[in-house]
Amino acid sequence: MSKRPRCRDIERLILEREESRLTAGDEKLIGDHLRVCSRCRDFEAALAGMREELPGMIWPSPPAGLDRRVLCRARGVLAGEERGPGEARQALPRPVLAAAAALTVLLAVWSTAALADIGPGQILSDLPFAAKAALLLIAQNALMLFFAPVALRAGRPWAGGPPGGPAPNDADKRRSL
Amino acid sequence: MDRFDGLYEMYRLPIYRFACALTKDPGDAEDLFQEVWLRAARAVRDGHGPRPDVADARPWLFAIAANAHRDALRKKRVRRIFLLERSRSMAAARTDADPGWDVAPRPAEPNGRESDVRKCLRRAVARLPARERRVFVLRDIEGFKHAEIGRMLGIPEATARTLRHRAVKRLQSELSEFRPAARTLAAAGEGRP
Repeated sequence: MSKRPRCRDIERLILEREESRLTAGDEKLIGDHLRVCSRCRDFEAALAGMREELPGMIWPSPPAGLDRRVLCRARGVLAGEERGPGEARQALPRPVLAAAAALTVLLAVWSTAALADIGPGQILSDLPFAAKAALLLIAQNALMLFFAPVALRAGRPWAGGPPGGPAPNDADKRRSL
Repeated sequence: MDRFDGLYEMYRLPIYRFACALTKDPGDAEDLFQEVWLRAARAVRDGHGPRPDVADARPWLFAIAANAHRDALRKKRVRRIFLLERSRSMAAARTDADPGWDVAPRPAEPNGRESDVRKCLRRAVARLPARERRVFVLRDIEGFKHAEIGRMLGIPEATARTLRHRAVKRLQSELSEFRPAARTLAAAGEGRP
């Protein structure tokens, strides 16, 4: 005796039936199952209902000004006025990157040395100038890391349209805050 | 540039509709729409665009849109790590709200309003998990086949089928109030064979 099909398998066959012709055996399997399973009948009815409703759903059109803004930016890209991500990375010369890395290492070493003398129970006003400066540096870096994504997003090239182009819409402004 | 303008004219409405179906508010839809066309312009500029026969461009553009949507969600997730509490409360508020699209009245519906079932369907689609939503919209609204969706999203065809099955199941339970038989079924707790 063959194993009774699970509802899940029948549901998948019902979905598959939309795209391709099933074999006579599969059709019979579905028919036999639907006769005795009200849940699968409901699944089939729900699917039919969705198919009926989806084409009638109302979709909005692009708001006024969006086409102009998008085409303006896209034409700028096509005309080569915008650099690709790879080109933007190459724009920073290697010596500058090396100098920045060296400065970071030096500052890390200096901060470690400056903070080494801080003991428990010491208050801020008692600290030597170097330790205060090191703490300030750490605080400034932490704040910058926290707010950098927001700042970069506000300055993204396509948020406000091309130079001299239309002003950013409300959604862009909202998001850049 | 003429070719790009032709593509834009031909596919601006389907791509905007897709952006609206994937996102939850008009601002996000506009951002996504803009990003899709900028990516398309970059690809055309760099010679990675579709072949000149325009029929090839439809899946190509929808694949760009699906990838841009995935990237936007990823960025949002990173931002949420920093602004956890705020985004949580905002997301909860948005999920319950009607997607605030500016829907123009159509002559088919004299009062210019969507029926309740369509509104509910729109809300339920917006609440689907992102992967399921992408597959459902591509299959059931845009009419792509599972094999095409798999190629567009870079997933196996079987995964596309599974995601759609899950999406339909979720929508089935969300829309049960509109099917009297389903209500009776739920009330009676009727089992499977």
